[in-house]
Formats: sequence, C-alpha cells, structure tokens
Amino acid sequence: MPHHKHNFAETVELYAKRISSNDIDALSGLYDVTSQRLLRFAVSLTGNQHDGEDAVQSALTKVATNPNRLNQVDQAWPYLLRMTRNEALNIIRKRKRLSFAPNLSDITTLGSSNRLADQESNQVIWNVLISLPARQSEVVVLKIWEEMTFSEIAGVLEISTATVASRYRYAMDKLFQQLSPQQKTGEIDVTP
Amino acid sequence: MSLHDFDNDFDADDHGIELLIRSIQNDVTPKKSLRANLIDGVKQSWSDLEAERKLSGFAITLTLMLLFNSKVVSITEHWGESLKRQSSQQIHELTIEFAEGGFEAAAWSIHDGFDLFRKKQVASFSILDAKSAVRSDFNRPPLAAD
Repeated sequence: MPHHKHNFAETVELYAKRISSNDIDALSGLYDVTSQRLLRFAVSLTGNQHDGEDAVQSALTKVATNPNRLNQVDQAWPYLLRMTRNEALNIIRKRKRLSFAPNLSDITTLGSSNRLADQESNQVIWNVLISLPARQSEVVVLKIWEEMTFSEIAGVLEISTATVASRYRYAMDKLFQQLSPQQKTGEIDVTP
Repeated sequence: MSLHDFDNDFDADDHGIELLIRSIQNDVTPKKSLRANLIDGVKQSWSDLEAERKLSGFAITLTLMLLFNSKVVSITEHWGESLKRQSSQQIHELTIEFAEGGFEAAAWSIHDGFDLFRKKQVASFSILDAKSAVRSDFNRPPLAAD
C-alpha cells in the first residue's frame, strides 16, 4: 500500500475514534479530508453533483447520528466509501422510479482549469465515464482515483476479486473505444 | 497470469486511459453549503441528543427518587416496628438488604445513610437506656442510711 494511502486511511481512523466521543471538530475534520473524494466517487455513480452531494451528506449524517459506527468497523475508510455508495445507489433507484435523467451539467466546479479546452476535454471524459454502468465506473474510480488494489476494491464492494478485475477490464475496453478516437481527433486535450 | 500480475501489468492503452481519468479527478468539489448544512445539522442533532440525554437522566433520577421514597416509607415502617421491638440486628439486616437489593450507584450511599441513622437511633436508645437506668435509680428505694 502506498505510504500516502496508508496515512490517509489512518487519518480517517483517528477521526472515527474522536467522533465516537461526539467531537464535533473531528466530524468537521473528517468532512474536510474525505468529502471531495466521497463526492467524486458518488458523482461517478449518480452522474450529477446534486445527487452526489445528497449521497455524501446522507452517509456522513449517518456517521454523526451513530458516532460509534465508524470506530467499530475494521477499516473506516473503505466502510465510509461503501456507505456513500449505498446512498448513491439508493438515490439512483429512486431516480429511476421518478424517471429523472442524470445531468452532468450541474457539476458547477467541473473544469477547475481556466483553459476552455481543458474544460471541454474534461466534460468529454466525464460524459464517457458516467455513461458506463455504475458497477463498472465505480471500479474504475476506486482503482484510479483511490489507487486501491483489486482486492481492496473487492472489500469495499463486497464482491470477489475476480469480478472486480473482470469489471475493470470491461470498463477499460469501453473507455478506450470511446476516448481513443476523440483523443486522436483532438477533442480531448491532455497536454499539461 | 496471476491477479497480482493482472493488477500491475497494464498495457500502454490502459495507461493512456488511466491518465485521462486521473486528469478529471479534482474536477468535482463539494459546494460550500454542503459543509455548513452538514456540520450545522449535526451540531443541532448532537445538541438535541445531549438535551434528551440530560432529560432522560433527570427522568431516571426522578423515578429513582420516587422509588427510593416509597422504599424509605416502607423501610421506615419496618424500622419503626423493629425499633419498637428494639431489634438492632433486624434493622442492620434490613439496611444491608436494601443496600444490596438495587439502585446500584445509590445503594451504598443509601446504606451509609441508614447506617448513620441506625447509629443515631442506637445512641438515642443508649440515652433512653441511661435515662431509664437513672429513673430506675430514682425510683429505687433509698438506700438505708448507714
């Protein structure tokens, strides 16, 4: 496990321990270190920021209403990811019932770069990523953004390592098929 | 090929896609209102819980006081009977029984309270005994003069 990843997981564990004694500062701290990572994971599932934020808020509210919850589990960070995922999937299920379509345009911070070309490129990549089935996009996000191994991802998603590897392979093939032509035609600009 | 190899043996295509996906990982950041909503909401919730806890504590104390009071009444009645019979051993047993019987935290202070009360009673008995003895002496026929 990379050192920074190990430190991050330890930081979450420490906050979890402090939260178990109703330390509001610890909850703020947990929010500050995890919210962006939880949100991008949730957005990759819900396809829009609003629902992603709802998922993160619901998960963290559950942590707050049961302060011992995170402290009692073996690994707080994977558990928090799983909680957020469950909330995101609940939102997707409700949305399906109400026939809402995901709307990526509400990602207000999309394209943190000032370059318009970058923003357009990122929009294309986001569109392709959220067009994947959630079971594939979540594996990609955990693997690439959270730098988890297949075994760790299997722990978060509660599926076998072989299934994780298989989903990742399918996802990467689809991403390659859709992003590679656009990269070649210059629609995606990845120059630093 | 093992899973471990699979995990680490991505080809160049995969690497290119990885770079693209990585390039958007910081695009999404939570709106500032999310933090405020969550933390303020939780502060309120924890404050409510604390208030509820205090209220529960008060309710428990009140209930204990009422229970205690009824026990005191019944024990005092017993005690009164025992006192009439001047059975200090029975008083002692009653006190211990009550102390061990329940109310956990309050038990020993209750016991101490009763114990102190019992001692005072014993002391007053002694005084009564002494007075009684004096009275006996007083009532005793005067000794014959030498």
